[in-house]
Amino acid sequence: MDMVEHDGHCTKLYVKMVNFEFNYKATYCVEWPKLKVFHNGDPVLDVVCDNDKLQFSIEEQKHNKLEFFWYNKTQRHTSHKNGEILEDQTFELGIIRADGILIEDWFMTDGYYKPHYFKGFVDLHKKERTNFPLLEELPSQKIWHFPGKYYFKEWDGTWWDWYYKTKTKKEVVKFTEKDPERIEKYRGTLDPCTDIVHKLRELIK
Amino acid sequence: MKLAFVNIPLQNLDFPPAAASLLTAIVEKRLGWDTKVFDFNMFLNSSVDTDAWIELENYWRSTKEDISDDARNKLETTIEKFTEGLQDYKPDWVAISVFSRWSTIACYEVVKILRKKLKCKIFIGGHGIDSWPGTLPGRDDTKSYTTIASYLKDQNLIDHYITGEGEDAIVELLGGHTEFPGIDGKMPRPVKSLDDVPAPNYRDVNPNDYYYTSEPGVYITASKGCVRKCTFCNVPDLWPIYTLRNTDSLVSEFKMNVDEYGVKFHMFTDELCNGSMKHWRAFNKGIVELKQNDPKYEGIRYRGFMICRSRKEQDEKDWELMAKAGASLFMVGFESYSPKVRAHMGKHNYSNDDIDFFLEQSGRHGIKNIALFFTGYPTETLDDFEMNKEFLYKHLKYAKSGVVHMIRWGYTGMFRDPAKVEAKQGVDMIIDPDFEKKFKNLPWGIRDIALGVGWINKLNPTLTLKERIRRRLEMHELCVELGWPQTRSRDELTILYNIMKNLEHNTIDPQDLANLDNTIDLH
Repeated sequence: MDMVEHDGHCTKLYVKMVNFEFNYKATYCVEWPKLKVFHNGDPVLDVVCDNDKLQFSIEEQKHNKLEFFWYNKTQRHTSHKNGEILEDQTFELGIIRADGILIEDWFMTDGYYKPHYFKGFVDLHKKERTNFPLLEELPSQKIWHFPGKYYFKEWDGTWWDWYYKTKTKKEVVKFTEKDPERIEKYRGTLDPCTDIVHKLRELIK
Repeated sequence: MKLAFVNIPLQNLDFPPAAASLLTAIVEKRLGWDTKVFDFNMFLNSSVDTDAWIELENYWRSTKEDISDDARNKLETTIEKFTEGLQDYKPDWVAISVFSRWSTIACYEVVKILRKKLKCKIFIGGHGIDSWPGTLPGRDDTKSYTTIASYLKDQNLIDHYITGEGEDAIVELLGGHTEFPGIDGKMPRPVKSLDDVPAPNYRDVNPNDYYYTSEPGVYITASKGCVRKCTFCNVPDLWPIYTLRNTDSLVSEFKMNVDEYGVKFHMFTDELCNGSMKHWRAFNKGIVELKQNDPKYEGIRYRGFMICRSRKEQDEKDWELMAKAGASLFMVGFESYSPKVRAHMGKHNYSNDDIDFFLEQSGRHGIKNIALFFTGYPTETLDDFEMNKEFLYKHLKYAKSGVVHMIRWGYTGMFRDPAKVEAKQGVDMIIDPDFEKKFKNLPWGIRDIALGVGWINKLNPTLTLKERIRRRLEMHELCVELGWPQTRSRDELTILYNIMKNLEHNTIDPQDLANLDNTIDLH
């Protein structure tokens, strides 16, 4: 979230962009993985993953959907010898930062990966693992072996407002029945304390 | 010989009491006594219903003067039942840990009954025993006493009390050496060495039996005292020498807590963890090595108080090291976003850029913070105040992301002893000599706090009591509007309201200064 402008008395804040940093591990075979990043279907980055992180910015919209598309892997990007894999092009998602801040895992783990399986793999799976259907969507998949798309958790409105609300809902605070004020003690409160504020204002008039 | 160590409200229920587990270990090691911890705080919580628990918590906090007959009946019945356990143990001595000023009422309620039922000697200790005896509800016979400890001793409700650190004094007292520093009002002496202190004993207070918030944890101490001397703080008075504990023994205690109790979460009791960067780095490296050598220790995490250091003093590598060692949450007193105000406080060692860097690095490594600030410091001008607001706007992403987990805008009230704040230029404190007379029906429990707000800085005369409260309210409302989670704001505003509604003339205006100046000479 960039603070683009504020007036002399700090009363206005304009939100424009969210800057993302995705850390990853990639392995090489013939070439490095190539990824396209889409925000609401629009391309924002096309990158060769020959490093350890990729960075991009998006302009927030009313509804936001982030997708990674690994598009260059084919069967020639896996090298075999005597049935053993010698080299393979792979991609593994690591930690994610938004605006330089490490965000919690759920943004990734609440998403899912939709691999584009190779035909040979699908045929082999059908033949050898008849009791286990090949999943079309793999939730929380960090390590990718097939090209495909990763769909991150979608969000509405301002990233950080949404992030705060979602994070708060996910927090587990134990023994609240033993300590009724525990949630406030644990994570603070946005309680406006309207009653006491009003009474105090009256007294200092 | 037997020592029963009693832990009382008001204390959190999350973790075993630090004083009880440490001091009983010391008594066992140095005197060879049998000891047992009795946690009345937990016992009470398990014995009464939620309504009574909340009512009693408000009673301990002095937000209500008295309790209902029902709550009183439950309280006294519970103390009587608790005392039976103590009687069965047949102690020669009972120690009561009075954790803070909000433990004094509980202490009074407990000792009233223990004194009648037990024949052994009773002594108290802890930060709370220095509290003004006026904090006791409905007691008109307390005015001539300076502390609650001296009052209780004079009333023969206790036999002795220990002021300051208990590590050495408890051994001397139980050994019959009542002339030792810190005992019965004698000037306390800081503990000689933290390296001679044994590890706490959790035999009777297993961390896994407590009502932890996310995972079981224990307190741990790496140092005493502070490296700074801030105008608003009494830590350097209590611990004049900053004392550090050997990092090897510190790391060993972390290891022992994992090995023996499966506890990985540690809370430093230190006033600050990073007082010596050399020591702090050595500790963090020790924990990282422990984790690298055995995955069993991988989940070790810690939290503690920090001072904001300059980027040069605590750089990117230090932040990375802390994150690897398990830094989870820091409580840090940034105090003000105005460099001028900070400089007056004695916090001139870091700039606003350093605060920004502190937050940036915390965010980078996912370390949470509770940010502590003041509003209404005696030298604070409106421009300084605006800078605090600027902080809220500028760093909003840290609030939303949880990097600043909570923020606290402490109201600057307690300047009854203005010498420290006046030692620097820019402050000439006037304390209204008639301030106490301006109150009617002031609740006893907050009387000492109330009397602390009756000041004005003659060199910053527009910062009246009303103006200070106005600024406090404005910060509260801005935090709510922007989305900064606050801690204890309602409690503090309620105390301010209770003070103001009882103040007959609820202001000290600048025009009163001339009169005050003539009537009082504080220097």
